Amino acid sequence: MKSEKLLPRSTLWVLLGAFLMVMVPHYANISVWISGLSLGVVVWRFLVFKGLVSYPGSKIKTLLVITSVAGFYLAYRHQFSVETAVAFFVLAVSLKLIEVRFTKDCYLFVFILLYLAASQFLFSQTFMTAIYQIASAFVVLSVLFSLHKGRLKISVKRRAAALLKTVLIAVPLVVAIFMFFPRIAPLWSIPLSTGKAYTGISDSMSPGQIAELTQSAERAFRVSFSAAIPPKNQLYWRGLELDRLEGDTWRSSEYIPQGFLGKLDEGRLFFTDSSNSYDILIEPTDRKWAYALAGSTVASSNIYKGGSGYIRFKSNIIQPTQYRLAYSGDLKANELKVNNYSLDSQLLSKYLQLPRAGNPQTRRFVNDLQREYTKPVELINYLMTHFREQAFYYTLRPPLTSEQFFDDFLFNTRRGFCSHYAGSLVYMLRLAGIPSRVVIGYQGGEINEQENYLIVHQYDAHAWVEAWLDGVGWIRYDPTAMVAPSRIEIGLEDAVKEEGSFLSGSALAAARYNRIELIRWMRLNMDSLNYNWQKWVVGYDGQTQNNLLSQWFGRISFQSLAIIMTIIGGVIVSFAFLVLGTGKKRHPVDKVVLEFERFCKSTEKLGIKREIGETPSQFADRLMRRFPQLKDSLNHFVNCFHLLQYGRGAGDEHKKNSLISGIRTQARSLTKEMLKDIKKGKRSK
Amino acid sequence: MLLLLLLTAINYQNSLIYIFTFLLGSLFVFSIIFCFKNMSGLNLSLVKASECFVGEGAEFSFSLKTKENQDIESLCFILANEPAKIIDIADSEVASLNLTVKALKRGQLNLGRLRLETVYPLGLIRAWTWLEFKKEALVFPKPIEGSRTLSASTQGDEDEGGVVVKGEDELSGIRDYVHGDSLNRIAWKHYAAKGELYVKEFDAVSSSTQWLRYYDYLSGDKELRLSNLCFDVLSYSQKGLQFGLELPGTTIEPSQGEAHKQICLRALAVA
Repeated sequence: MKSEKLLPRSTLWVLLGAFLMVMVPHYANISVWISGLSLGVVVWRFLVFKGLVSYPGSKIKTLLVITSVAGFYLAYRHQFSVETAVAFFVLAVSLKLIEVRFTKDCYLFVFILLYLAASQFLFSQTFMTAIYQIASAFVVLSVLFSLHKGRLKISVKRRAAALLKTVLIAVPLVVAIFMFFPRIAPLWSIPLSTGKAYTGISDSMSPGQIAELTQSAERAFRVSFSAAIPPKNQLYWRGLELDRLEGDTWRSSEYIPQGFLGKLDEGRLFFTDSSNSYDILIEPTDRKWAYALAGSTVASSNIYKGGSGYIRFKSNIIQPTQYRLAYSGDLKANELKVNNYSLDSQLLSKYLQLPRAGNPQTRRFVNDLQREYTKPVELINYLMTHFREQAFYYTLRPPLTSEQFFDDFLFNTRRGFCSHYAGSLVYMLRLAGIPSRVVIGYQGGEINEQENYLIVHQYDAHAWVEAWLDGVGWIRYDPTAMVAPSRIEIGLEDAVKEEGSFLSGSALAAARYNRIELIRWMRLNMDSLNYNWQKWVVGYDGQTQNNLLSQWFGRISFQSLAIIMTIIGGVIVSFAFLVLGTGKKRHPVDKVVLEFERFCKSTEKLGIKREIGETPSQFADRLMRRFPQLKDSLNHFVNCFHLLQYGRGAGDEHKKNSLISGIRTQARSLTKEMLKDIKKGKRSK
Repeated sequence: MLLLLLLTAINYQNSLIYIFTFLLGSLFVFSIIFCFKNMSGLNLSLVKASECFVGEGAEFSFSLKTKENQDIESLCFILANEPAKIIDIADSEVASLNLTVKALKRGQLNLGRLRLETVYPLGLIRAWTWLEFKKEALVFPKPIEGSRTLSASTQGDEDEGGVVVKGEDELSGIRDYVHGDSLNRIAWKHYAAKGELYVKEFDAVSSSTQWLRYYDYLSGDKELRLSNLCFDVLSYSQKGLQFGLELPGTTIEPSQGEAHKQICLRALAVA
């Protein structure tokens, strides 16, 4: 009977608020029509509450469910990912909202909302998300609270104080459990792909593609070096190579097996303490590419060196992930160390692959050069000088080119950015029979002075060239550096300063306003906070836990972890038991009464106790009988007390205070006199 | 729910879901504490148990007080077969609560086991306690009109003969109102004229003392007899007559007034 109680109005308000608070961040990840439906349901529920429409009948409900499920199937039949699950959850919870009529419906609904709030962490784990989701958890719980709180008028201040106290005790408890809770490996395989589209480098490059990236101020990764940060012009973050040219599009022929279901790699062992190492915290890309400086060696267990010498993750990056690499220290050398100083025929043909025909002007140009420069090095050097000395321009807004892209670019427009220059250089080198490839990744980065780490943004995306020289190995050539040295030395922002095209497409990107010192300072501070958050909180896994705790306690076993956690948790909970639930508020005892009671206490020490129920004047009378010589001062004392306690308008606050202090001095002198009298009495005896 | 969250956290190796889980977990633990503290320190006393007739509700009055600096919210009083009552008690305030129990049987009525429970603050945890009280409510028999033999032997004072219920109307005088006198006998006309309360006194002879005797009633059932007696006690009292009550084992000397009625009713209740 009790559970059939209708939901009170006040609770419904909180419920709708909590629903929206949990749902809104999810709307970004799911189909628009589900978001629309979900919002529609909120409006509907609101209208029901207002009495404008009635609860839907069973027919409408069935129809709604059938259409939603059908729509869901149509929208998501091709994928099975975290988003699918969340979208289904959102859909189901939204439909359930119409049905929440009774208090008993509330519990399940609240639990699902809490779960949905937590599932947002699968998509975003930033500091702000954490704050938001925890806040919404409290809002969701307040739905239950509003059901069970009494009708007492308890001030907001008092409620807030109780809440604050709860939170303050919860924080160390959560931190303790978080630190010591034994981390175990994933229990079963889960869909890893979130199906979300991430901004970032793709595995093909056609003219114009990287230009889109340069409009994004999103973070690609962050790097902290164990030693000093190398100069920017040495920071070439190699991602992958593009070795096949089809038309004017460069593609990667690298085959990376894609897993559908899999376990997350739960451990990442850092097995180097080399003085020259760097940690990279990469943002999710849903790819396996790990960016690294040339000549780096693998130093953590979640990555490996792929077949073609690039660093690869063992599984797709769907959440911010940290990995460590060691480097040889000398980045200046443009060459990559290789074991074998010659290429086999298979590789040779791979790095010489070209479309059969096209770009006749370029072909002629290279033919002429080949006759002049017989050594590959000379030819390359000539071409690099060519880029520097001819009227090439670096621009993010290149003009449209005809189908004969390289002809048009090299001899006609001569305006472009990294991918144009790198692509055409490789084209010419291959025409000249020099094995070469386009390497894409990032170049440079922004130094965050606060914490001394490097932030690499999407607009740092870059493409350059590696050419094979027999007996030497792969040598890096960056034609863009010839055209626009400031792009490499300082950064994109400086290179396109005159053009004004830096992040011109994203008016809201804070990085666009780097010129304003305050905004830059705030942005960098925010980034430091997030970086530390990612490093210490989000990235706190079994391995980190082990490393950290073994520093304090030595080798630590699973059981002792559990024991430590239990002890700390127990201490905090028992502390909570003592502190929570009882208000600290003391009833304001009247100052006057306090003074009088103090007086009574001092007389009690003298052996005269005020009886229970004896009024001040009765008590004073008794004292007067005992100490007749103090009659006047006692009378005065009691009169003052009466005036303060019962007299109307004892005056303003100031006067009252002076009267109270008057009473205090009177009380003191009275006790002194009485004490004297008693002593005298004893002596005379 | 927490387990589900924990599984998600483990499987996705998601630190923030871990944190979220632990946060909810500790809030759950704290809600146990809040729930316990909501009820501990409550001072509850059964102040009064009312008297009533069978078929009516016996009322039990409680007085409740919280500890200093403690508010009690949504405290639920549950009795078997009765709708629950919910009460809030503010910090250092004395609250009162009446619970009504339907009286089905004559005699002493115990409140039975009273369950106090609270699910404050989140409804996830229930703190409860069972209470039993010694104080009992007295339930009088249900007044049922019955017939009785007015045999001489069972009549009142020996010599008065068959003249029984007559003579009530014969006013013999008035006297000052004494607390407990029947309202029916107040001289309202005098009250209207003088503004003071007087009570009409009836002729001593005609208001001859009546004895209500258990064995006078015709029906054999004990309960029914008591019910009949109860009816007559009430009607005699209402009329302001003097009467005595004779029950097996108990005899109440003839008297009149409210107090006498109560004595008689109590005797009937426990007979």
